Amino acid sequence: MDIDRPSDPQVSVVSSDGTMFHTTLKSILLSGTIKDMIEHIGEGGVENMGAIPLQNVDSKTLEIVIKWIEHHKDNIQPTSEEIKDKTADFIDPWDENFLEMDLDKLYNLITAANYLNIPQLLWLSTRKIAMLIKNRTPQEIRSLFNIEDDWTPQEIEAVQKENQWCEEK
Amino acid sequence: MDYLPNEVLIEIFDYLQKDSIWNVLNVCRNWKNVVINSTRLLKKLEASVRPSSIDNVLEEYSSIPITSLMLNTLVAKEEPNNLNQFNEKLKNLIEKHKTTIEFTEMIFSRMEFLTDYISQLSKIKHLNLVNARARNEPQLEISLENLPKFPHLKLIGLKNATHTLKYLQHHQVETLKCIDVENLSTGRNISEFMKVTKSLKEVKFMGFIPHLIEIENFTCELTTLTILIKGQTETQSNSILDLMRAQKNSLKELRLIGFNTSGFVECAINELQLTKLEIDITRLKFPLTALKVNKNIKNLSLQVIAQQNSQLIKIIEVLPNVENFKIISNTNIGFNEWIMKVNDTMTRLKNLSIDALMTILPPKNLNLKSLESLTVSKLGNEFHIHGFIQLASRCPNLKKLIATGYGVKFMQTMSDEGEIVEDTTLCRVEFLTLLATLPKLEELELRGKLTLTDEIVEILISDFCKLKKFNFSAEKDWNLSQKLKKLNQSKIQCKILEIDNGKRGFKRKYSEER
Repeated sequence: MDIDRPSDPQVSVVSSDGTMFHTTLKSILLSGTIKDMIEHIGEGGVENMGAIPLQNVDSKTLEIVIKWIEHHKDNIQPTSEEIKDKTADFIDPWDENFLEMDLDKLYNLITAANYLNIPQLLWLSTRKIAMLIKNRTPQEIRSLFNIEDDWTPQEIEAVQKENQWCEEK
Repeated sequence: MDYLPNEVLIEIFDYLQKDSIWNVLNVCRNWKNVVINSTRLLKKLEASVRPSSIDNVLEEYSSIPITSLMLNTLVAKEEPNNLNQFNEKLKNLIEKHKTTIEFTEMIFSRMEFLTDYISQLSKIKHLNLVNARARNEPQLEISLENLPKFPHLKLIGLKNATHTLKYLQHHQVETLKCIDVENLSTGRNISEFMKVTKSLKEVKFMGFIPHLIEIENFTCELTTLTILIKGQTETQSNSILDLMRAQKNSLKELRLIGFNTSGFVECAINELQLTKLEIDITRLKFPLTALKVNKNIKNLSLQVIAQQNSQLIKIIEVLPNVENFKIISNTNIGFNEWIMKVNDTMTRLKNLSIDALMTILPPKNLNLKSLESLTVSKLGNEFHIHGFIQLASRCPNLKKLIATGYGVKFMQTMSDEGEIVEDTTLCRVEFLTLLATLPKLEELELRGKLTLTDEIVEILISDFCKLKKFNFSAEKDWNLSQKLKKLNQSKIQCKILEIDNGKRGFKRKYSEER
């Protein structure tokens, strides 16, 4: 499909809770999942195609995703292999700013990026979580992410012993 | 967090280092399971064992499988009692983990440890023996014979390798690297080893030449031989000469660095049919007649000094088929004469690499038509840079260009991997505008301090018409990502080779083995 043509047709997507969003073909093709789908339909089909239903993404999250893909539609997207390399630790300030959101939204965004197969967005959002985990104790991590402490007392004791040794070091 | 799929959790944890992953393990049951079931994450929890830390390791890894285990060099005067205890504990550790343990690379410092858990080893590709010694021979014999097959063997600093090689004879070793393993009996053992190891293809001796015996009985067919030393005796010369003669039918790649006499090299090369030759002629007169026989050499690498200019020209003259040519020198070797010889004789030359101090002033009629890739290192001052651009402009078909700033004077006689690159202001606007005139340039790599100014970005985008890749050493710059993005949008792939953070300077590259 010729992505570079000047006219960038409108495409509609529908969230799981039934809200319709309009965006452009160029933006939506950043999603590997949708790109595959559209490639099956063929070039002629895009204009006649109806709204694309996205069963796993709610309207709040979809709005965020669309904001991101529209901003990045003209950029060359790195392949999954390049992302795996993870050497380039430069985050676009726009992205940095974009990811300032509460944790619930961030989880939803990760799930959506994973489902829609947008490698760069998945990379950015998972990295954000990793940065939150880094340099925090297990207890701090639990309270930050609201995770239930499901260890037995014996196990906790063992962990404490381990930590004690760490501190001695 | 619970509703994030496990594969996403793995992606998240993959950003973390060892210490943080230990914390992740203790957060909750699910997180621990995610880590334990991912080989990728477990690899990060490599266990490093020494007698003082064995108890901690046993405890730490009580519920976590170990995928990679490293045994650190032990203190030489360890009490035998302690050693036994350590051995016992190590055995426990290995027994506990035997279902999941997988060794890809093991470093043994003492043979008696090897004996105890050898049967537990499942997969070994590389075996490194560092200062390994054996006390208990019968045990060692059993354990080494049970060792799984592995193709690459590296021996470092073995003072008494009498038995090691003997028991490794049936392991289809393909590469043998010996570093500082000097000892008469070792020579005999290496000979013994080469005699029976038919699979052996590549041999490297670093820092010593073994006294080889019964060379005519070797069953291996070597294709590659590397010797890096600092001078040699006559007996050693003869030993190497005999080896090269015996292997003349298979030997195609030869690398000899640090020799101080040349007679034997001449004799040997005379009988070989090489395709690749790397040689240091700084301390010897080069065997010209021998080279004439080896007209098929495609890869040539020479280390020379200033006084050898005329010799260099003669060498170039007899090797018309060279495709990859590298010239290394720590002195100013002059330029015009030899490059004209290259221009006239090496008509198939594709890659030229000049790693030498020199002021390049290309002669008028220089036109390196066949050249596709040019690498120039040690560019120190204005004259060097100016000359380099002049040189590049005489290569009309150049696709790839690599330039490195001034390198610290570093004797490269022992190892060409030991390169230290220091920063030099290499990249300026005038410089780039001139390079942009190369019509076919696709790849540009600039090593040395570079501030990626907006002006430079503009030049890269608008002046270079075919540029696809741009690799550079960057200075820390808050807008760097913006600029990289801009380049990416113009279909120029960028890679940052190293970053100067202003404090420590560039990360230095050191040799792998020394």
